[in-house]
Amino acid sequence: MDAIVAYDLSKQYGERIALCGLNLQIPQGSIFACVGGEQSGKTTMVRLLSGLCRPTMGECTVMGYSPGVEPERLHTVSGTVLETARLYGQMTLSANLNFFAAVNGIDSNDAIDRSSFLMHKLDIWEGREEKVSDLSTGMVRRASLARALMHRPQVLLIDEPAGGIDQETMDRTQELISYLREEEGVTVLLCTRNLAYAQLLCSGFAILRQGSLLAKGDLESLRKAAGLKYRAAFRFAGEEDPPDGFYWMDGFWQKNIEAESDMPRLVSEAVSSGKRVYEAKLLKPTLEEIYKAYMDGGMKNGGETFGEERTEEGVTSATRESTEEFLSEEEGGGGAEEG
Amino acid sequence: MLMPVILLVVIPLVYSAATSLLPVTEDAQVPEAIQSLLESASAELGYRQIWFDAFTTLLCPMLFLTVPVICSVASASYAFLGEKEEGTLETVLLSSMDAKSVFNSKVSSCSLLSVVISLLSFLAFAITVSVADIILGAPFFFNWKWLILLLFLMPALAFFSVIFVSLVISRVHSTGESLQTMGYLILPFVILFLVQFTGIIKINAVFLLILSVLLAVASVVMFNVSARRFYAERLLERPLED
Repeated sequence: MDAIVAYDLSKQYGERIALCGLNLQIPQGSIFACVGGEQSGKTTMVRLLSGLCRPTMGECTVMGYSPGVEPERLHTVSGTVLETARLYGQMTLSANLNFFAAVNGIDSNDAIDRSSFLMHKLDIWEGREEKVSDLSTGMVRRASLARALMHRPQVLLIDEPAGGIDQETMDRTQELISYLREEEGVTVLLCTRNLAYAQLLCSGFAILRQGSLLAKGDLESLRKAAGLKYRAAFRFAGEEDPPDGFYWMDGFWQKNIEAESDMPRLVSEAVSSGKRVYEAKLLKPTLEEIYKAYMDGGMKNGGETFGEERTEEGVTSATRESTEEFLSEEEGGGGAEEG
Repeated sequence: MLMPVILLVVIPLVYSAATSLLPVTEDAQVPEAIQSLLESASAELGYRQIWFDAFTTLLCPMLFLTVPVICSVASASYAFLGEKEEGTLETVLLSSMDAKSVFNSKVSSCSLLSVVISLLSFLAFAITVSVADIILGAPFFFNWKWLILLLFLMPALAFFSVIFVSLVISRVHSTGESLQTMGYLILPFVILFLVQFTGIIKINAVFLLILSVLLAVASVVMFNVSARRFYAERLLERPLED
């Protein structure tokens, strides 16, 4: 079953289109990331899914509940973390958590157990008797996450703040989300600009730009759609000439390869040709590289959307073209260094 | 909390002290127009007693009615606009409590708080004025008008003021701005009670009862309109976001 479904979801504020025809299905129990830059529609998507605003067009459901029709039921099965949804600054952290547990109909004993568990997990236990206004930004951020999880939601919607979050908060959040997924089967939708963090935490991704979905899928399918290849990187002893087809980059002799399975063959060929291999590694394109490829490809198409959602032909040609250009620039740079 | 004390304790105290201490000539007379507005048999009362009676009967109701307005507007401004400004209204609207329940609880708690403070203020006022009545020998202030004020008009006005603030929530931008709406609510009552000195109207118990009913009906109508407008998108619209 899909935990989150969006069909042709659109939102317009006056003249500005915040989200345009979003189609998305997120399976139950998965950790999914929506990545994009400024005004890409991430926050709007979370606000639409949590019922804080109504779509101009299209529809969406979370665990089968429509935010526009049954917001109360939706909120019993979902927890939302938004930068703008704050805690009471003049109340202590534990009082805040217990208050929101009570508002969600949680028994006071259960609330104490749950808040204690979450505060320990997020490492904010020390601040439980302090006023929220006196806590650090990172602790407040973790406290907001604890608040959203007080009623044991099945779906967690997180919109990362534009200013980013500190390392401690990132680590604790990652740890807790992994636990919740394994132990409570929580589905997580993370909207963030931090691509490395998203890659670390999530199994599925959607790339948004200016309110449009450019692509979605797992890292491997996004890599293929973006036309990015694996790279084999070698470090040889001394100043030996590289094998054919290799280029110099980032201190390694590198070569684009089609699949991981090509790697043993390359190592074997290098060794059999008498090269003294000090180091050999497989470089997989990161989400950041894939995202960049999509952004560059999108720009080349004059802002047209492409990706899985669009026609196969358009996607492939646009992405490959941009990726080749991107890679050829890198190769050129390597050549210069080599020369 | 200081305003009700100033309005219903300090001002009557200052007035009673001034009435009893200021020198009065033997042939001093209270104007006929003022005496005609009083219900007490003014022929039996002295100059100081009539002026104090006029104060408690004609002006104190106006001072008393400002208390529910001040308390309602202040509490509703913080409950609606304050929460909106702080971002906690959004968090509450993300809970499993429906928006109508949030609205109802805010309106009822603000109204109740305002009524309780008004009643306590009246108690302090009653003690102050009763003592002054005894010292000055003036007639006991409490009459049918005060009973209607206390039981009907004050609660209706408290409720009306809260609803008024809830209606303007999307039009004002800050708690401070919302507090300024107090003026729109106090001014009509001040004018109403001052107009009676011109002789155009005479505010009696029946008049106050009719006013209470009208205010209650208007409050119910406005409550329904405001409740329908109380939903997340209207309250929290943020067009410039990621």
